[in-house]
Amino acid sequence: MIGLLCLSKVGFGWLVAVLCVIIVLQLSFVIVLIRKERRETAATKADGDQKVAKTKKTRTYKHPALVSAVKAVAVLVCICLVCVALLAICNDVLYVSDEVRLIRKMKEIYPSYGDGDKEWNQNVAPSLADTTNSYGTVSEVHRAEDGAYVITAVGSGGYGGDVSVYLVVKQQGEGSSKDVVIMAWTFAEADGETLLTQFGSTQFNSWYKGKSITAYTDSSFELNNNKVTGATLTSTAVNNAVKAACDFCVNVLKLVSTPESEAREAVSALLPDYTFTNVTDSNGFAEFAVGDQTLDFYYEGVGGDGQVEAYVYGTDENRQIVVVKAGLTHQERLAQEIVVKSDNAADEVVQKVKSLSYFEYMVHTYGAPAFTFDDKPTVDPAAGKDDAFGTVDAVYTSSDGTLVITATGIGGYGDGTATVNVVIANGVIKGWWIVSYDASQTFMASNILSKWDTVKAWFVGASVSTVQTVPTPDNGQGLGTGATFSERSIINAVNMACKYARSLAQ
Amino acid sequence: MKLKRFKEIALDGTVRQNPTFRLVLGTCPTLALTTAAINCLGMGLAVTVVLVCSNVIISLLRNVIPDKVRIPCFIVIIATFVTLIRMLLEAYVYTLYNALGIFLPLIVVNCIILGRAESFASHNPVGESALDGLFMGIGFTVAITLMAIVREVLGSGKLFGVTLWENFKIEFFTNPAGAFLTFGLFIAIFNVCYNAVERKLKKDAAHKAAIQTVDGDKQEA
Repeated sequence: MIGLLCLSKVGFGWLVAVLCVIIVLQLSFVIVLIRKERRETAATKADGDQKVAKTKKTRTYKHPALVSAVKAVAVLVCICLVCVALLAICNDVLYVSDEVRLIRKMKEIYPSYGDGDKEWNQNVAPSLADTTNSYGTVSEVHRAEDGAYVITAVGSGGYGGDVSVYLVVKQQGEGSSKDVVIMAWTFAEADGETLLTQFGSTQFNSWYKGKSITAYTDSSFELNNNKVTGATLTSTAVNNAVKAACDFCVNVLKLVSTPESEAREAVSALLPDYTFTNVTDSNGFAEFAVGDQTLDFYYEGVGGDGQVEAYVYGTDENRQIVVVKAGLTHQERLAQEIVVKSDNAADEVVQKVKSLSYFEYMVHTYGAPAFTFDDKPTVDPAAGKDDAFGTVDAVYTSSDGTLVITATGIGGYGDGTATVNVVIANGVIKGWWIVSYDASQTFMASNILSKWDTVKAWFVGASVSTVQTVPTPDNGQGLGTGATFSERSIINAVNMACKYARSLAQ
Repeated sequence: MKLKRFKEIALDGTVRQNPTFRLVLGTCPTLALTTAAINCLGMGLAVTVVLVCSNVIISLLRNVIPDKVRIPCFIVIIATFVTLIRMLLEAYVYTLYNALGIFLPLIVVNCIILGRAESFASHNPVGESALDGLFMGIGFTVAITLMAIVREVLGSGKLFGVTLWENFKIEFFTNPAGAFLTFGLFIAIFNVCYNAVERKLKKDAAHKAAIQTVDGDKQEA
């Protein structure tokens, strides 16, 4: 049967050649057997004519079972050969091409696919063939005149390996309700996935229909494993394939913009030689957020000079992007050069891609774009030291009266210190950040810097002119991070900066 | 061929040895495909063609095929015709090809075809074998179509794909359990009717024979 199936697919010329070989072999085998039998018959002549006559008369074979077996096999083989020839001829006559099969399969889910005069552009994006993303691979994209796209995607993780699906997406709605939704889907290959045909039933086939392609990152988008009993792995592969197609539509074809796709586009434009992957869980190190910013997207980038991390704050044209080298410690991050881009047209200082020191970045971002760092007066040794708080290390002034004071506070964990920069304008703390800290401050990174989104709000808005110590939320009892000593070193450093600012104002 | 033999073969295929209700062969497609009557017509037609063609060829080769390899030879011949039918359907009647799905290649192992090849075609002339295949196929087609009509009308409110009513649907009949129940009922009803008719015919034949005997005795007397 296997021979039947295989040979029926072979072209007619090859078939004839194979048939000839088989026939010749069979005939040779039979001829050899017959000659052998005749030799044995002739050898018995020496025993006497009677025996020979008897042998000749009755024509009994010395090995009748063998002859009968040979005859049976020969008949079976001949029948097989004839059937194979017939199937081979019919296969050529009734051949159905892969293209026709594809059109038929697609018409099941999208009736106008491949109709009449409508031209379907093969591989709309041939340069993007076999595009791979974090979910799978997209191998082909077809587009219809009515604007629908048919994407062929492969998802891994199935029971027998990969699963190929066809996804049909189309733009629907107008204006603010415009969206690209999934019209239909079907699986392309079912080899090795014994339960995949169940996904063709109405119950499961309609799962993705009507869903926006932008929703593919939501957990509710996935085909629930329990819906197809016992087909957990196949469901995984189907989900991956559909998500791969959606991701391709959003990020490569750019059929619809999402805040994430726009952010990724902005990040990629910043560093074109890098490939960025959106990571839903940041490393918790959000110290680049300033003011009331929150971290919206976090990307890991590979390419060019190695690996980088990109932090995106904001979802509109005013977003800020900070790119830093990956794999650095907190201390190293605070000191390194960073690349900053801001889409905020009002931010004249960081309108274009430029490298800034972290110091410059923070100063400018804390509402001091005009800070020119021109004036750096010498620190008064007397006013710049306090046994209760610490020391002032540097002072920067600007023509608009803004001060940036670098101060080191004592009393940290393990008798360690922390150095901060404080931006003071009009007697009010505009912002602050940690510059460095002693290695003995073992809880600084884990308890304070990792929570920078909330920590940065400390001290902001406090007046430096009326009080000796900077008010803390719980009256100096600690700021709730669990690292009380590290907090103390920070508080002392800020107090030192405030005290020096008061002395300058006098 | 005599008319009597023709009638015998026809009645055997459609009634006396109906493959579905009397011999209970080919139950797999019977249970699986009888949710839609139109699919059953297609399946029945495919089985009939395979039956006729395979019976003809097997009958032609009945004196050539050795006894030792008769089953493999039958299978090869049947599989060839099933494959040809599959190619034809895929090329020209794709909707039916899609509807039959996996059950189309399963015709190869349909007991009706191999059973008739073994029991009839391999011992009878070509003409009779062809007729046997034809009427067996007709019997199978009619049987599964009747079942499908009942299941489709009661289960989905349709007949040959045409919606008859919207509200009245007993979904049980579209399920496998409903298939078994319908099948069992049809077998029961068919056999009850068949046995009743057979008894009546026998009774009539016996009565007729008795009358003829009496007339014969009278004449002798």
